[in-house]
Amino acid sequence: METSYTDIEGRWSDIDKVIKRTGPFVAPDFQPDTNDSPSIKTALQNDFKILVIGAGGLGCELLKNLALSGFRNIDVIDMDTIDVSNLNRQFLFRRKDVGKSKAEVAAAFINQRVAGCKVTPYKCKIQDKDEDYYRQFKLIIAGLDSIEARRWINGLLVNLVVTDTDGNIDPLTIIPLIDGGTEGFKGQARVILPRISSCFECSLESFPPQTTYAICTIANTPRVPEHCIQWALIFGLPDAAIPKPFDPKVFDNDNPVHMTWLYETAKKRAEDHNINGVTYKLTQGVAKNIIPAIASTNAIIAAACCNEAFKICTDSSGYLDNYMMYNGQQSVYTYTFNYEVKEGCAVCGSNIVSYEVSPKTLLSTFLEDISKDSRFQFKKPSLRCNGRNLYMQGLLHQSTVPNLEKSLEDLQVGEGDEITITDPSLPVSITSIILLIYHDVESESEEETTTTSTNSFTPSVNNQEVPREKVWEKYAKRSRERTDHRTDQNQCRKLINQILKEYKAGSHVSIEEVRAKAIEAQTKKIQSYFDNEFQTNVSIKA
Amino acid sequence: MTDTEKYDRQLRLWGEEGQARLEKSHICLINGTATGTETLKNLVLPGIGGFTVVDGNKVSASDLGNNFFLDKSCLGLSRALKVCEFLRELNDRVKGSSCEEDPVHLINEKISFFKEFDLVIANRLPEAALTTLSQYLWEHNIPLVVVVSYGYIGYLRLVVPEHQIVESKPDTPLDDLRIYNPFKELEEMADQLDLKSLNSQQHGHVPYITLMVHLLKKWKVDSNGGKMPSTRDEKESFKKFFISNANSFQDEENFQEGVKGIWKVLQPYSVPSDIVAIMNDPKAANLSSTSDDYWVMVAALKKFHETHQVLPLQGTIPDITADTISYINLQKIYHEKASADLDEFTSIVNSLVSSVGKTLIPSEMIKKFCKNVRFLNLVRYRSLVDEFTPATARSAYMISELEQPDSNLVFYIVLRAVEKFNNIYNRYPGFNDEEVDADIPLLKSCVTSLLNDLSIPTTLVKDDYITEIARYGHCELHNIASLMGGVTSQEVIKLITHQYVPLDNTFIFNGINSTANPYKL
Repeated sequence: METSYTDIEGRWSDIDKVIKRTGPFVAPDFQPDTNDSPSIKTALQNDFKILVIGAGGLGCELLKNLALSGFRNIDVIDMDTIDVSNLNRQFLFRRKDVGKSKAEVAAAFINQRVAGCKVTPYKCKIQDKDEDYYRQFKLIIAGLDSIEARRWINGLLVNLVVTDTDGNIDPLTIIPLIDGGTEGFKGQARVILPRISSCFECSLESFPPQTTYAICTIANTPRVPEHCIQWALIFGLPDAAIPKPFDPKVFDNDNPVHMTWLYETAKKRAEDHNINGVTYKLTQGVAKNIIPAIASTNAIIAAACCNEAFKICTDSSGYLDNYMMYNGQQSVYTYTFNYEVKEGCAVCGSNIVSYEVSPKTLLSTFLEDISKDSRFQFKKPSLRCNGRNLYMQGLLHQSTVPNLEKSLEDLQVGEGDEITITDPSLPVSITSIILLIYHDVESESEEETTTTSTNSFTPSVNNQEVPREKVWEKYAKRSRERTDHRTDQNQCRKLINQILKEYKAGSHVSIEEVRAKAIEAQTKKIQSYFDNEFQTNVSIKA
Repeated sequence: MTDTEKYDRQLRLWGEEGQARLEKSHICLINGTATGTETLKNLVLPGIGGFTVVDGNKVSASDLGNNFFLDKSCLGLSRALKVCEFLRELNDRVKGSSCEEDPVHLINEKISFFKEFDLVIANRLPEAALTTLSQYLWEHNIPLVVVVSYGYIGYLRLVVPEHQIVESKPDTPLDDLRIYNPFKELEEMADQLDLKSLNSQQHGHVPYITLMVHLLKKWKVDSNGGKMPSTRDEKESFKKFFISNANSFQDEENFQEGVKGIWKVLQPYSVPSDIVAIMNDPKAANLSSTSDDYWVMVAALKKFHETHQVLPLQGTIPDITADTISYINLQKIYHEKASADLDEFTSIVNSLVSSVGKTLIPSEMIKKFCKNVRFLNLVRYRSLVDEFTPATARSAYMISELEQPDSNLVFYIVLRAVEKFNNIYNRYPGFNDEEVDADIPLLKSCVTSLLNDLSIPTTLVKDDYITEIARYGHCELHNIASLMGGVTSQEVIKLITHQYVPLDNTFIFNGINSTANPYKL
């Protein structure tokens, strides 16, 4: 790569301190740079190519941070254009840039401000690039707001890892993925080492599907302003009887004329039902699924991501292993932990998940259940079993519709059978397999009423996952670390369940008291775990 | 008027009131380093009123390696002037100015300079100057934020005598439904419920709140001698009774919702202990014409509670299964009761105001307070002087923290020793390549002397940490600067808007393994 640029003497003296000097916490492979052989500096400036996905709130920060970490070869991909509402945080853009490509404006700004740095923009979808394109990077940092795009790049990077016939991984084929995400005052940063650490798909259930409202509520019993806005979107838009100043087929939620129509229609619906609170702002929020965003949080998360990128590339320090959460709403709360590999992960695991179900379950119900299950989050699943189509999308759809009203039993799906599922929401060429375990219809309802609140801590009680022996043995060391972590978790779960029992039994105990008791009884680690798991689960669900 | 289009994504967090507070604020930054400009960037973007950068330095080559708000053309020019110019480009609604004086000189010779600001952010100030500044700001009730990025380590400290919060905005606020102790109108509405007369559609759409109030009364009169269920058996028995009133429990979501929250509903009403503590604060008992509005309203709250044994009703209900009319009616009952409580609360406030000779509190403010009474918060910080003086330092707490394996507090100790080192040798440990090895034992003796002053066993700080800090040689890595700038600006926003709950009082970020902890020092 070309490196004609010569820096001013002393420009990188801050970074030099950590790459020219060794210390007690450096990575095992660290070899400090010397004046005669500045190999780390040379690698940062000439050899390593970094990809940033997304040039939005996180992306602007990521590009700045990488440029000032000494990287010079950076690609950025973003298909979006700049909107006015980006300007409160996406600091590489000005009002005159509204409507232009985010990737192009961001790259031009960095190249102009940080001498020597070369950012190359691509205004396209990540899916437009092929495997060879992604193979050229030392590492990839994602600042995305879409779950789907993250699943896609994660799936691709896991597939790029090459193993020999003995199952040994070729380390040169591992491209680390550093992923950041923010919402309001909260965010998370994580490092994914494909095939070694847990991957994005392993943690899918920690990103619950968007809140949806039941269609019948929206149609028949609206209660809150959101129901009225949803009504305007779902029923008002296609209704020819309601006049609109635009073609409903090309509804665009960035168009103020369209949005005004939506607001007025929702307002009318609300007035008809005596419901207060439909505002233009709320209408926008619901229709566009707006997530609040501020510069500060993006700065925290992007910096945490780039700090890891710099350390991975220089070996000058320890690493984040492998997930950090940040919440600034009430004081400053952070939690750093090892997110475990999920056995049965559709991308990096065996992709077999066992699922308990009654043989009398109708296919339509089964379909609805697995689509709602946060572990799968299917959008348009196609189901096959024993070489037969149970339910298909596309051309074969009509022929499988009658199956919806049949039970699994009637469809000759037996205990222990595997249902293979393909879905556009799963990454490229990956299927998920559900192993059916039958249970009695009678025991189901009883279980549900007695274990409602404890279930939220151990969601896999009813749906045990199939162990993934092979990979398990291979990473003995990592596995040991995970076991330690799991012991902590189990101890914690045990304690919480015990206290929860007392809490359910006694009338006089308040949540605060229970929490105080738990904190008293256990270590700080458990305190953070407790805040994390217990408070959110119990205060919402109990 | 604010720019609602540009600020949309943040207005959804702190609203127009929070935005107005930001736009009125003028913030001072001491030293336009990477950490300083990264902090200001995140405050200029959301639109503070104005900022002033105080910095006596000229732009050096190393600034171009870590500070984004400078470029090659700035070399040798005033750093205050240039970063101010570059930061102003971020938002034309924000006023920026610069002061090219040495901040230490300013603190020693003309400290009243800092009186004009709503908040001061201090970065890279020697300990003596920092202490002087903090005492001055403390006396003038101006928040001080101290931030440091040092190699892979970050440090943040907030100092304010008293910070009052009305809207603490908890993550998962509990609803104020009063099912256990229904107010008259709610009870009357529930009394009118006749489940048997309802068809199956109506039966499955009675809001669970109404069901619960109705059935609790029935159960306690018929089966428990008029007493609320208190033992486990009684609660189980009520739960069975509740379920038995469903036509088909599996199909009636309203009954399922009732059972879901039953254990919480059956807890006696109580005022959260931190609200009790605020009500019992001496400041609420001793009102005068100079009392803050906050304390007048707390005093009014205390009176309200003494009369009714409950706090004013919040008046909102969550979205629950119900038909439109029942839901709207129920909503109305809660809303009307909350309005009545607000009226009563307002008249208590007004009578207190006139009895102490204060000017009237705007009704919007009283309304906001009344709606948030269960989420009030108050933070009283410790002063830096109390923290730095061995007699008042929290040594026992520090010992217990340092005894934890891999405690991040160890970096706090070593960073304070770094300041001692600088005080003695007038340079930072490891700053020059050829002095790193020689500086390690010198820094160690600073650590030892600090620990001795604080009566902390010297074994609690391992040599590795001293070696690592000497390795950093006072360097400022952009990533750590940017991260600390993000954390600091979040805290500044919380202090200025009086929303959410700010850190109390110290935060350490360990960029070696990306862990962090808050400490109360």
